[in-house]
Amino acid sequence: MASSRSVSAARSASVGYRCHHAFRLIVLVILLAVLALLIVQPLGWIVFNSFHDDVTGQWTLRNYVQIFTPTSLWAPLFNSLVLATAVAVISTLLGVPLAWLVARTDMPMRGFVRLFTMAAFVTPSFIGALGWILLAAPNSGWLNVGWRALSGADWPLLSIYSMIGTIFVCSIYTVPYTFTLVSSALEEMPVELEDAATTLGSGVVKTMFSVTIPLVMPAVLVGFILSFIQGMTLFGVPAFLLTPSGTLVVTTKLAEFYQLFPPALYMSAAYCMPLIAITGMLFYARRCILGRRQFTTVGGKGRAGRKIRLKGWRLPALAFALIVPVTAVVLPYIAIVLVSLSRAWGLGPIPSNLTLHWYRWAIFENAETQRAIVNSLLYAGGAASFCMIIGILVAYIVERKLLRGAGLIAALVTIPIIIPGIVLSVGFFSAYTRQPLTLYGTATIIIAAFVATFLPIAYSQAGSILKGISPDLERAARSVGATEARTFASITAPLMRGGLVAGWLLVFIPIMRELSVAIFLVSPRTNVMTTLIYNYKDGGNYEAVCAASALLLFATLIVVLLARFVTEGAAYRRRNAASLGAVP
Amino acid sequence: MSDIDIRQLSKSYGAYQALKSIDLHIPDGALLALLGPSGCGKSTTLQLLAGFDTPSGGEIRAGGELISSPQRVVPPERRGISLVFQNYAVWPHKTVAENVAFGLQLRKLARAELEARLSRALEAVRLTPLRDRYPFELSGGQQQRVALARALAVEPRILLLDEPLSNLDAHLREEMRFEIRRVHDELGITTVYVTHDQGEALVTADEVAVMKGGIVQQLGSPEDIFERPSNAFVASFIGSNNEIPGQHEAPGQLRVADTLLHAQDRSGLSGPGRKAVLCIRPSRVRLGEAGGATNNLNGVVRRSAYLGEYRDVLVEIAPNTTLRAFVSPHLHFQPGEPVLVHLPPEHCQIFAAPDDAPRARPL
Repeated sequence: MASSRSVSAARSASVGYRCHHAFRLIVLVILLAVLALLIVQPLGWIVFNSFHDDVTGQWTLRNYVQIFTPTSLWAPLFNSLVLATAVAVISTLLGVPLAWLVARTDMPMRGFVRLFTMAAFVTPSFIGALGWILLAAPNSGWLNVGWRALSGADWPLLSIYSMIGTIFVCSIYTVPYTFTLVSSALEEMPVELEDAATTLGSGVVKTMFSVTIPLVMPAVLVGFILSFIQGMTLFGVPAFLLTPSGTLVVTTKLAEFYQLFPPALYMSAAYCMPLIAITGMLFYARRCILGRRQFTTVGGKGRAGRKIRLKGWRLPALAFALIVPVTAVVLPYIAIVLVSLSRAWGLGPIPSNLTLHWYRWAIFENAETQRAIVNSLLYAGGAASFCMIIGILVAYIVERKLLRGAGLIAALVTIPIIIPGIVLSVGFFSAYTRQPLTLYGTATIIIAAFVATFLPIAYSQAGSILKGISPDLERAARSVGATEARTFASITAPLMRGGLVAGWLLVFIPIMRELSVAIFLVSPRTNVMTTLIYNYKDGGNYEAVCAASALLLFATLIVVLLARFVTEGAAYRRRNAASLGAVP
Repeated sequence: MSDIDIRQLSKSYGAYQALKSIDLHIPDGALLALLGPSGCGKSTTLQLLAGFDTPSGGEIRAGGELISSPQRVVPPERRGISLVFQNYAVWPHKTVAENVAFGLQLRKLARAELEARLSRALEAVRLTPLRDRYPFELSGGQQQRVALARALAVEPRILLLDEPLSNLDAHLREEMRFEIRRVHDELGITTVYVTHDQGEALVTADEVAVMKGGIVQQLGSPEDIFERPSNAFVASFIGSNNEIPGQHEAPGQLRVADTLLHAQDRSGLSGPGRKAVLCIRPSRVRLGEAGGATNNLNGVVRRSAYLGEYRDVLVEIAPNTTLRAFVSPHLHFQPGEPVLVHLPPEHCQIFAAPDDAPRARPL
């Protein structure tokens, strides 16, 4: 019996050896092929195109020479730098004190401020720009109309169609980045560090400057860098607010190349390069800073510090803290909802002007908006799911060290983080509007572009979930006879579930509000809500645009709430589970 | 069931050699303990046996079949080798019964057969009443039993235990030692037990392999290892030990300061004047009596601690040379008191000075 058993064991071991490696090879080949199509191919075409002449199609360096010759191409680059610098400075000046007030003081309405700052995060900034056009357009904006009526002046109080207006709108929607980073750094910081300074006789202010601020400095710097990148890469806001006055930034200039006939594909490719270079450098800086940041939070118990008493400063502090919630959420939302409920917004919000007509029109009558709503949900849902699948697969290979070159695959899926959405759009357009893969106008190309853009988020989410699951749980399954695939399905996947919903959501929300990636790739059939709103706005039908925007915000909100509901339940069940698997 | 044959097995991580060509043969049905300090290579050996890592050289055979070599590693699920982890690795999303049944379900057994084997495994570790609990409702010892039952249910050829008791409290640990031995005696599965705890190794194992620096220092029965260690490291690692440095004079003779001590010679040294150490267990040292013609030293008590079952006395026998003696708790010694020390020659062993031990700095 013993001999027959060992013979059959030997045969099964040999079969298993081959199956195991064949399966790994197939999965790896598919993964690499998908990544090549999603990332290497589009970016490769940008590089290739940038060295070719639009007219002759020959190899050339002329495109690059042109960027750096003082022609009209210089101005957008300069404008972008001004915009990005101003946005970074203002969001730091607004976001850091805001984070401190919410995390460390007894300011009233802290919960409200936090909630609405996060709402600003979920709001697409170009919809915010739309709201501010309604509020502060020089002639028809409500604030200006009110100002003229009150003061009798014949000049507008505010003009949103200006560099200052653009900086303002970009900044208020960028503050949440700084706010989130700095407030979580403040909350993670062990309160003992501040207490230690206090027991040595240091006062509140002295402690703040000598302990608190230096410890959150890395978070502040990273917030500054992210805000700068936002300022460089935003497309919707400058397109709405600057383009009308003829001022261009890099992103809107790129769009202009596409509106030429024939589109200046090769020139635009070269024009992407300064943008990629700047974002690439900044992300590298961010990595360096974050690498060092770990020292500062070691030993943090996550215990909330004592609240600093503001006394007489409570109300002035609140007034400051309300700037972002009011200007980024309350005012624009009110404007958009009121206009969407108006027959004609010029008449103002009076009872006789109110109607649900535009919602009826958008949901039931107009095929375009109907299709865009469905497309948005389908594409975002599909892309977020696909994105998470790739993210998990790569994170699994990297975390469990299944391959020697795993680090390279990780680097590959992280590359899109330095590629601005509009550049990726250029890349996908170049790569997939030619033989053999002509995908222009299909849903596939849009979903693929969304997947590529948000792969870095999905990968880092999946990685942090996997870090919480001890590899021994998987090894235990292997040692009782489960294959790699079976182990993943029966052990790893069920343990990841709660985190996956949250990760999926973190990809889904930005896809829903993404405009620049889709902008060159959509066709009338494949319009999503964001691109449709962008196109309608050009048509000037503000009531319809506002109804569509309100619907987009509403649809996003519903999905967020649904997912929250699911995760809350899962989180409860996982809490007990996680305490076992993770720590030895 | 099968035996394990490890030949010239080595494993390097970059420049670091975790295993330096080890040879071990574990007979069918035996329980071998791999014992050593952390970083000695015992866990690496286990990972290679389980198939989670690829050796840099050598090979492992189980029941005559090649399962690991640098060219070819049979994946873990095809080896018929079960592993019990240090941190239990009990799946938190499955109940006790589901944890244990998982491996059986993979084998596509008939329902009745599956249920029978599941019950048998739960019975073997006395978990039947807890079968529907989730792991977070279990104590550490119970989780450890689940891990053991899960590994045993699939009726493996070989069972590997990776420091299975190190996360349990002292009392439970002692109980589980006997439990593991009992289960092994019942099922007779070839077992490799990795531990850094000599008590665990001595209680559970048929044979003990003491490892250090990626090398097997000694392979033998628990009694061999304790009574007849092959070098100073093994002598000191197993149980308490005194190491007294001196000069090798002649076979069986070592000079410490001015005194010539007689002992069993295991040094393999021949010429006089070489550095060597004399090892003796503290429990074998006699204080306050001249027990024989030789091996008597004059010492001074430096420290005396009452430990209930015995008294731990530190005696200085030469400048900068001390030794410990465990004596009857009724004997009283005061620090500073001169005392006669006798080292019975039959309990003294001479070893070559460990070349990798930290040497005394030349003055």
